[in-house]
Amino acid sequence: MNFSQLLRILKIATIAAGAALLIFLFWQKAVIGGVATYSTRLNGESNFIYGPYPIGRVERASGVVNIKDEPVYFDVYAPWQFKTANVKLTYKNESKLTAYLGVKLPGEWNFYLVELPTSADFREQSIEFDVANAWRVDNVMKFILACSGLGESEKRLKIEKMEVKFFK
Amino acid sequence: MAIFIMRFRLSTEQTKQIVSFLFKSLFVFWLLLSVLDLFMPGFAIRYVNLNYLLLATGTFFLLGLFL
Repeated sequence: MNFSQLLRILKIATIAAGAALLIFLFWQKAVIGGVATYSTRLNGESNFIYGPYPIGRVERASGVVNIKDEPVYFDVYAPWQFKTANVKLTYKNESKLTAYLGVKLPGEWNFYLVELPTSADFREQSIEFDVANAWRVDNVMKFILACSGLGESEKRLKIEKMEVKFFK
Repeated sequence: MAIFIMRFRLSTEQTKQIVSFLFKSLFVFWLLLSVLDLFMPGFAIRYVNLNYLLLATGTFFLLGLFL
């Protein structure tokens, strides 16, 4: 193989790799299948779900995030204005305090909240939100986890995993 | 890269040509992804680490400079 052949192969390979990556990115952006799923173990490694924050209200333990004050927020990447979002949260709420999971709607302080049942052990709760008119800025939707009275006591709300499934 | 040069017995000029091509391709690609990400936030940065891409571009730039 002479040098010009080698250079030609290298050029073709580089352009093909770039084109493949671009196709992949546009495929992800378009959400061809109509469903986009993002999940996180809340260890800060997810590129699609950021949170819970502010960090002063959370404690990270092994595999679990303890919420010590409320409310906390999650930013979830949403490449489209989807119609519905199914949020699956794995949590433990030993306290008698009522916890809510919600999605931010347009407006200054406007959230649609759904009550989370109390649970002495870890449980997986699925909640469906209508997000057709939800707040979405820079392709990010905001979710809230609120538990009134949490900051005033030693009680903690533990969360282990979060999964968000968007439907077009 | 060194293995590649030795395997194909490339001269300094030929190595420079390859390095220059890789630098240009990576730079164009980084620029393209950055601009796309600017207009569609999260489009590229959620999937590709643009800092690493820029680091690779810079490495090839420096290699081209010292060859």
